[in-house]
Amino acid sequence: MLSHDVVWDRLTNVFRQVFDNDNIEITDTMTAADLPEWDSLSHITLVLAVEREFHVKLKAAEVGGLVNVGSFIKLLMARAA
Amino acid sequence: MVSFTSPFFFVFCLTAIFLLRMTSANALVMGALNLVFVASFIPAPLAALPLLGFVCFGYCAIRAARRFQVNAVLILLVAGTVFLFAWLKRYAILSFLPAPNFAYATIGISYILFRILHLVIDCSDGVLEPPPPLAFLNYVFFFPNFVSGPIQRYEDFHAQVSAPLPPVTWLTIHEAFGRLVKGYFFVVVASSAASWIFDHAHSSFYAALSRQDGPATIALFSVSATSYLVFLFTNFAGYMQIVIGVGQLAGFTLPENFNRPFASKNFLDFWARWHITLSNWFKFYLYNPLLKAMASRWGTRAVMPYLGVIGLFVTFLVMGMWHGSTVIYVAYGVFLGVGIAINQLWQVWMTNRLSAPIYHELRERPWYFQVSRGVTLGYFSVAITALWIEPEQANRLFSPFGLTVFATTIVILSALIAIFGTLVDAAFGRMVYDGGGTKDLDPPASGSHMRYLGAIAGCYVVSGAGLTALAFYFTPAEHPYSTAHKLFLLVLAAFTAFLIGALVGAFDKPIAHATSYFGNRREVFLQTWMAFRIFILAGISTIMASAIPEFIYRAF
Repeated sequence: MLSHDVVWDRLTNVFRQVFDNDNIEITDTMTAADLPEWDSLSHITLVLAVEREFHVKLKAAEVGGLVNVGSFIKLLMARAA
Repeated sequence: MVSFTSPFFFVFCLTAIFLLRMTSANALVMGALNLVFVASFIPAPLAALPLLGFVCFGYCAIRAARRFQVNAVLILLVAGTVFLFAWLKRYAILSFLPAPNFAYATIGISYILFRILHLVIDCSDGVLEPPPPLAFLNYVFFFPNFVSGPIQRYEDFHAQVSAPLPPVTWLTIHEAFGRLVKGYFFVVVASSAASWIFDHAHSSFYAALSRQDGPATIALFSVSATSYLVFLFTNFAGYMQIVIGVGQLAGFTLPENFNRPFASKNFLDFWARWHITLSNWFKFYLYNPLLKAMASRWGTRAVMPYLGVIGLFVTFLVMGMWHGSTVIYVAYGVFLGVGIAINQLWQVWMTNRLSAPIYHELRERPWYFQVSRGVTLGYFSVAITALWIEPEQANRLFSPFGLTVFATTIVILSALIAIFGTLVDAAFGRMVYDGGGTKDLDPPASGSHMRYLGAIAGCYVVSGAGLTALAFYFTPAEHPYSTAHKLFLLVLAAFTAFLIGALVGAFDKPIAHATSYFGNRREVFLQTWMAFRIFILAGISTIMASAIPEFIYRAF
């Protein structure tokens, strides 16, 4: 299982790439409301980028349930390789 | 069919709250309660068979999905469930198939479909384990959710029934009481008034449409469409307030289905505020997977927004078609799909043209908000014509004359709603459209709490007086009131509206912020407040029972 910090680190890079912004600092409580570009469309881009980075395949309920960064990290800690 | 104003509903809810609390929501007790509630909607045992058959099929599908966990099987199971649903609901597409030759009940089946599909998909994905039979039955038939949602997710329901019930606190009673008063006010008063206006307007609209009188058709169409929207909202959202309130008292937190939809910034935002649990379901199981599949094949940065347009269009087309079994609902779906697609394309186009920061700044401007909200609500109120129009009249609307009326009405209504919205916001301050409920009612960032309180109170007083003035207008001339009597009733109605505001908890947050009553004396405050509320409710009931109803009744 990956540690919180490792996931956080790699996830930060994914966020920066997807939203094309090197200043993004992610936190566990951060939601789509905190990042104007994070809409239902870029959510899917984000999910695909996460799937590539962490070599996982996320299920429908997981994709829909990822409401904040914390839930991303928790899921990836359990599932990622 | 029971109604939620019937004595049965009151007695049932009280019994249910009491029994669930007494037994800590024992599964068998809950099952028995659900059975009694569902049975009250079904005239004979035989009439329940198709519904039971559908639920049994659903359960088998869930177990099969978990056993095989293969996409091919999943597709077969989902298709089978949807087919069975469409056949039982007599969808026009399947009208060539013979139907069961007896009368049967399909109440609640549209929502049961979503609960079952959610379990089938998640069990096939291995994200959920199939529930045991009794837990499954309690989930699909859970009485507060049964008639018209909300569509709760199973893991949420399961977490609540397997944990000890939260204790009844004064805060729970306080909030549930506000919800119940608001819910009944919406359903009994507001939605009846809107439905009265609608009944009168839409028959005149049909007449104007058949004699091809342009201006009259547009005017009456506008009144019918908006009054139906208000009726639909107050009726549906009111019922949601009631069931969520009952759920709270019984110890359950049901998901919210509405979040001030009339404060929507645009059509996309509207769907995050209107029938939320339905939109979320479609987002989980149709929009996301579809977009993901398209994006993993063709998803470059430039193409993504257009894939989004396709995804939204398909999702809203299907969502519209679910609403009813006839061909007009396909048109409804297409119309919603076109609306959402235009909204998404507009955002892409504006972002490309103006650059993201400038577009973002533009969207923050009050005038932009008002125009955008006007177009959103104008478009939606015309879209839901599909929910009420008679087939014969719908054919008339699909003529060159009808379509001109249709398009003109959207433009006129959007403009009127934008103007009306601007006036309301100008009169009461922009914070008002963010207020009026017990939840999400944040005080303004600047300005005093008292001004905020005044603005909300003003809203209630003016609406009370306005409704009464409208009632006067409609009161038949053979029952004239003297000016003094009218004035008295106007003041009385304004005061009653103010008290209703207090009852539903509209002033709670500003008072809380102004006095910090949620400090150490919270319990005492809430108890006093509750006693006061019951006193107000008794007072209003007495007034309504003597003076108001006769007067309102005569008007509406």
